[in-house]
Amino acid sequence: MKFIPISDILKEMATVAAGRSTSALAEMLDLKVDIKVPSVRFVKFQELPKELSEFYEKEVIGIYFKFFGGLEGDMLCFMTKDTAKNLINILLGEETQEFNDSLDIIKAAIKEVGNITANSYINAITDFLNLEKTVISVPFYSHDILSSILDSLLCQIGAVSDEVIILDTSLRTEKVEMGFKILTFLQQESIEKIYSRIEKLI
Amino acid sequence: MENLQRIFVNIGEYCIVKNNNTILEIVGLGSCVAVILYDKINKIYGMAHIMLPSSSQAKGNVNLKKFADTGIKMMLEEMKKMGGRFFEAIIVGGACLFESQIQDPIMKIGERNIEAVKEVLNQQNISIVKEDVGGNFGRTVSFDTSNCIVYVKSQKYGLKQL
Repeated sequence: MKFIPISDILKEMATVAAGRSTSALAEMLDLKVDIKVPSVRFVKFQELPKELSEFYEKEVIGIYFKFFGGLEGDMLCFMTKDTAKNLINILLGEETQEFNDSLDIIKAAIKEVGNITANSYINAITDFLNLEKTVISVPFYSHDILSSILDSLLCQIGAVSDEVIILDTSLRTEKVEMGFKILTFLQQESIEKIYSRIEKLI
Repeated sequence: MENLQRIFVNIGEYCIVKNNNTILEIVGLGSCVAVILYDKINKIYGMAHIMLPSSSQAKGNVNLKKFADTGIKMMLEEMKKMGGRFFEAIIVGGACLFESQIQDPIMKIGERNIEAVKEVLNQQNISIVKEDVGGNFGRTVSFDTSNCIVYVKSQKYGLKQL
């Protein structure tokens, strides 16, 4: 079954996963949430600034997770400050004009959004491939420019590789302007596992 | 600073110049550490973007420039070949950006990077003349080779000169 490019398989998988995250988020926010067709890219570390140039030097709120077990890798959900502000206003019924995360409850609410998105996303992939259970870490909160967050994230995965596979998904809600991105960084062993699993399924 | 050539140092790479009209820069350092080495007398300037403490962590055939032990030595050897002799160092970065209720040792990578970088520089008898390390915020670092001044910009503290 070497005829199906791995990128197509991963893309299909990312689409299923994004769909699951979307419904989870829609339910939590009580809003209609749309997804763009996810993209899957093999990216060398050096090319990341170019790949994510739209946000690279922007201030963002990032929720970072590690996952182990059936699948191994790292995940970053990030959003602009404006999106974070809108999310908080919906979740806590406030009408703040500026995002301010000096209160723990604000961070907790944002982390919960990340948590729900990440768990539904990873569980969808695990189900799709019928893999053993994947355990997801607690969410780690960060608020800085995206490049600094990625710089720290790459330190976590840099020992084993010089490149990453990124599943890049954008979620958008109706009415409220919101941009929410999910980047999943898979390790080489996970890619091999996915590939052999797909071969068995077909 | 406007008339100077700007070179961005990518993650896990280093860059050496032999002229004093360049800005060596890293946009958005997180847990990585920028190691700036220079020899003012022989006008050789370098910046390394170190990701991890030790090459013993390497698995398989990966780029060795990203580890503190191998990366700094590789840059130093190259600078020596170009005629460098009297080195000084400035280090920036090694922050911890991810916070959580549960303290997780894997998140201490910034601290471990700083320790490793200091140890390697110490072994090479290079003194660290200035540093801006640790904390919980990212930094953009620019090294002006015309006067060996380092500028650090962060969301938290704005622009400052070291």
